[in-house]
Amino acid sequence: MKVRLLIVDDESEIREMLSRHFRYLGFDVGTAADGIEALEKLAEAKTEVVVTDIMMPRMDGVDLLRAIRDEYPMVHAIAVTGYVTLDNAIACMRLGADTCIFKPLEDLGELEEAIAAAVGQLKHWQEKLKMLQAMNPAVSGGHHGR
Amino acid sequence: MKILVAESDTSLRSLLVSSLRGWGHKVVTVEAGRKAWESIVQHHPDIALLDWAMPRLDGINLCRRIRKEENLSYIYIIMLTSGERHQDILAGFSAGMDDYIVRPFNKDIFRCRVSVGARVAQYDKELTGKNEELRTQIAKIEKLAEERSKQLVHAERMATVGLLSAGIAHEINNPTAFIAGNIQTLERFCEDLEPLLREQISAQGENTHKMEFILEETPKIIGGIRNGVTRISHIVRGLKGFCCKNENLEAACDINTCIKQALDLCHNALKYHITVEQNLAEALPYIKADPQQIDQVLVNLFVNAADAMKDHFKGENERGILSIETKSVENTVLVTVGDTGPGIPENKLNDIWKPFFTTKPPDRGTGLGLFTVNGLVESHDGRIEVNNKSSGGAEFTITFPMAS
Repeated sequence: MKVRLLIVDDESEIREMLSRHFRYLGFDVGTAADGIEALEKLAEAKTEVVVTDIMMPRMDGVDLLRAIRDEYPMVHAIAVTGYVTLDNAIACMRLGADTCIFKPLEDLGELEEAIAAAVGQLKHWQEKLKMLQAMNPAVSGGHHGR
Repeated sequence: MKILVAESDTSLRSLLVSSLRGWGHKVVTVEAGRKAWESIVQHHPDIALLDWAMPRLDGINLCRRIRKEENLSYIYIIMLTSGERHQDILAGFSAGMDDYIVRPFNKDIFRCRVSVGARVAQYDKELTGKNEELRTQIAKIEKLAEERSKQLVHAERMATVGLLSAGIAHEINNPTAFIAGNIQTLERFCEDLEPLLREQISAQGENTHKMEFILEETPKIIGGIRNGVTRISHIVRGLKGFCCKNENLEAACDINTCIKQALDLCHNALKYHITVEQNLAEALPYIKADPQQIDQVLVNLFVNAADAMKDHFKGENERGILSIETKSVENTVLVTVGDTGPGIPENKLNDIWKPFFTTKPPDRGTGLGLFTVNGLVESHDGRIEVNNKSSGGAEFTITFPMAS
């Protein structure tokens, strides 16, 4: 199964660029233009990692991070922002984002590594759950998407 | 006093001259009006004793000419006359004479009249001197005011540049992000495509040369674009650093701690060719500041010093010295950062604070470092100055007000 990413940015060029890049690297990628659309997409398809911009119309990245923390605690979130202030970074950290990456993304490697780390952590837990199932078949699986 | 005696009567002239010399005056004598004029222009006397009736140019006309000449400083004019007709005397005053003496005259009265002239001439000299002094002072003040207004205009322009560039930086950020991102994806495409294309080309055997060229050059083209984007990214980052002023993160802040942190941050830039000499005052008073921004200021100065010394000391065992000193003077805290590099050319000392001014090659400096430093220091009500040390190298001094 491919790992699913959700790219959230109000700038369509950036959405397309990141989507293309990570599809090429083998991910299944969805996109959304703001927080509200992102929450709709999260409800539609099981998603492992959300990569979100901070400054967006309708619902910004900080509110989206809060909603993800409350509704999808298993989903990893990575903030990508061009508006670098200490307040923003602290808000991202408090709301449980894995990391905060600054635009312009002159090295996509940083984002790739952050995603790889998130995926690694998810895999690690999936394995633990599998081990638990093997030890005790009574434990029901398949609930770890949320 | 320097006195001109213009008198056609020889015996009277010598009598006047000997008396005046006896009273301690310097005396110049002439016998006729024309010569008197030449002598006045040449000698600039303080007092002129003029014979009323001289041949060719008489006393009255000489008097008028003296008063008309703007280049002459004030001359006290006493006319020597043989009569005292009211009309003549009035004509003399209206021509510009100051006093007159009727021949024959009493020596003591003559002496008194000359000393009145000397007094007036003395006053005039003093007044002229004071006026000159005032004029110099005014010129100085005007020059100062002009400089100050230029500085103000400059400061205002810089503030506008700051705001404008922060706006531009934000606008440029997104397009830069998708250029940077896309080019990185394209780079991977090319890496993956290259072996496949090479296989096909060698199988087809046509136009090999041209295709080889494309395969060779494409990565370089992409590399060039990436370099450009990286440079733009650095500029954008520098401009953003400038705009993020005072977000109410100010707290009592210990400069010595900031210096240690900044040195840690610059460790890599310093470790190979620089010895750090610290002379930090104990129990240094706190300043009111955003420690992160102070770090930014110090890191900029340290890295600049390191860069300056890196090019200066190329030998294996030569090491530059970065000297850092803190002390408290009256109600301020002083930070001095010195290096042993080549110093800053005297004619560039004013330029270093301008945005985009840099002496570094384009891939190493954006020209925003000191511009940002200056902006950050000023936003903390501080002041930064630079000078070249007599022993060589540049020295920056920052003055911050002590936290109350």
